[in-house]
Amino acid sequence: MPDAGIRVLLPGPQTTVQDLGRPGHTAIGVPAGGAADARALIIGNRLLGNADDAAGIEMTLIGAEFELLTDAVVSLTGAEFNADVRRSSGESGHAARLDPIVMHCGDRVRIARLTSGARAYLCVRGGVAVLPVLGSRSTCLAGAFGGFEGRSLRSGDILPIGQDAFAPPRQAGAALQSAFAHSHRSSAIRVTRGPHVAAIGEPAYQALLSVELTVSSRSNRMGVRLENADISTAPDGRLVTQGMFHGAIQLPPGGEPIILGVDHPTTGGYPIIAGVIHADLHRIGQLRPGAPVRLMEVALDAARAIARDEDHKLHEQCPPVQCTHSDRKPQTT
Amino acid sequence: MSAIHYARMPQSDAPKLEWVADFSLHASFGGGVNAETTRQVEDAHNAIMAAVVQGAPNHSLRIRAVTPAYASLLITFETEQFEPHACETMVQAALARALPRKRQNAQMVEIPVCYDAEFAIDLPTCAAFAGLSPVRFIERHAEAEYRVAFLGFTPGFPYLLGLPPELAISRLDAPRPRVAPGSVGIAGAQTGVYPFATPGGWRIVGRTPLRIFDARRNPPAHLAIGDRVRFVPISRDQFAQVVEHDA
Repeated sequence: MPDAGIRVLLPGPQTTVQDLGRPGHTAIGVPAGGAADARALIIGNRLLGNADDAAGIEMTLIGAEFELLTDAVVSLTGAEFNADVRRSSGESGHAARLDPIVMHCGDRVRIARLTSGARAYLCVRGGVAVLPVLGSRSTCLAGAFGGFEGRSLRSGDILPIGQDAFAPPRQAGAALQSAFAHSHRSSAIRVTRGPHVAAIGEPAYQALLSVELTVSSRSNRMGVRLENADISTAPDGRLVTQGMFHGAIQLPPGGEPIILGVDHPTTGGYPIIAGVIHADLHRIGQLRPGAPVRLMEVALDAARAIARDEDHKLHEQCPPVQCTHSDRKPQTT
Repeated sequence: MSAIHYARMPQSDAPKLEWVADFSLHASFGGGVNAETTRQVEDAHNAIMAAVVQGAPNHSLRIRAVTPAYASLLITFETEQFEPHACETMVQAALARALPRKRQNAQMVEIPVCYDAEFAIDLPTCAAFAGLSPVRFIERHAEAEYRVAFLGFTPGFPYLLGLPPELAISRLDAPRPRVAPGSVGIAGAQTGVYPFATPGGWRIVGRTPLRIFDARRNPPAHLAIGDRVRFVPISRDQFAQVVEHDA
């Protein structure tokens, strides 16, 4: 069926196709990208019987509305929002997060304005089947490639649905429901000490850890700016351009810290005052303009132990699907 | 960390390794921003990528991303079966095995550049600052041989070393909201070429009609780390005939 798939009715301010990104091309300046809250995408995929890296639809702040042009099963994850399903028969009803929803041709699903957090995900059983570019179906907005035509979705766009499902859909279960319900409530983000604290000055670092910061509206997939830091730093505070990483907290001379997001420029020259721990990277994707943020320092080894624990917990609450194809290998070019 | 004996590289020349985040290891190469250091970085990058392809013996080693820059290499590891000391050992061993690439075969890439006033919006300022006529500035810019130190910032953006010192000028105080794709820029002693219409703070002295990055191409980036580059002046008409990107 040439028009089978998901049609966009209302796109919202920034809705893009994302999977888990393309981390192997940073050496040519291509950001790893992928879902800003990768954990939410993974959960949505696992509940549908998809591989973790099946492509889904990422929505920002104001949700979106879609129509199914074929029968499909979808899941909704990410931050809190009200959603409803309107059947082609005319019935409508609340659509809950997590549990798979059976949709029929002509049905619509609407994700309303997010009430907390910043991003919502719609996953579809089989995955969104746009052509991969550089090993991924994620949208690279900087390079205008990947995802759906390298751009945010617009009304009328039709996304193809793939056939790559490896297990039947399943319910979320009480443990996952409970963990998910609480995951966006805390304002604490755990960080390790940055490599340039000596150059920036210990007082500035301690000040950053002690204040309640506010997420700026001048934030996006490339980075989240933090207001109220009130830290002064050397006016000529630039370093030799070096590789950057997701979660690095840069301190530009203007003094407003930036947490690097999934689409961050691969290199940069601003000093790094702290680094968000791996286990909290997905929280960066849920930082909502106006929300409070407190940075909590943990040691490197503790950060690694937390990552292991969180991986283990997710594995228990939401086991991965056994896939017949091999897991994504690191790209070498 | 136990001492490692280097077969080829004396201890003092070995890059310094530092964990900059829980899963990201930064290798810094002493020696400053110059062609020799960028060659070391390039060789180290090749050695790490060779280790990834071959696989490391006795433990699984999973590299997620490697990012070279002027005098450093950033390596981010996957979190599964991660063991920091094993990662450090692997990186040190790979760097010790790094072989200098045969440099005389490094390809020379010619980049056509139109230095016409319509495109070279900062050329008058740059020439005045250098105390040169615009014509002389263009001659000096185009007769130099450059080297791609690394690609970064945005897909395919080349950081080039080799700008004649008298042409160096600081970046703009505030970036422009939009720089045309193909724009050739200067910031300090650096030269670069903007692949896309992005905000940009570098001083723009010309524009190339070439597509510097095309995701559909293989390889997608027109330039590669270690390439030798020369800018070749072309006319406005020639530009119009061969332009590959949208304005």
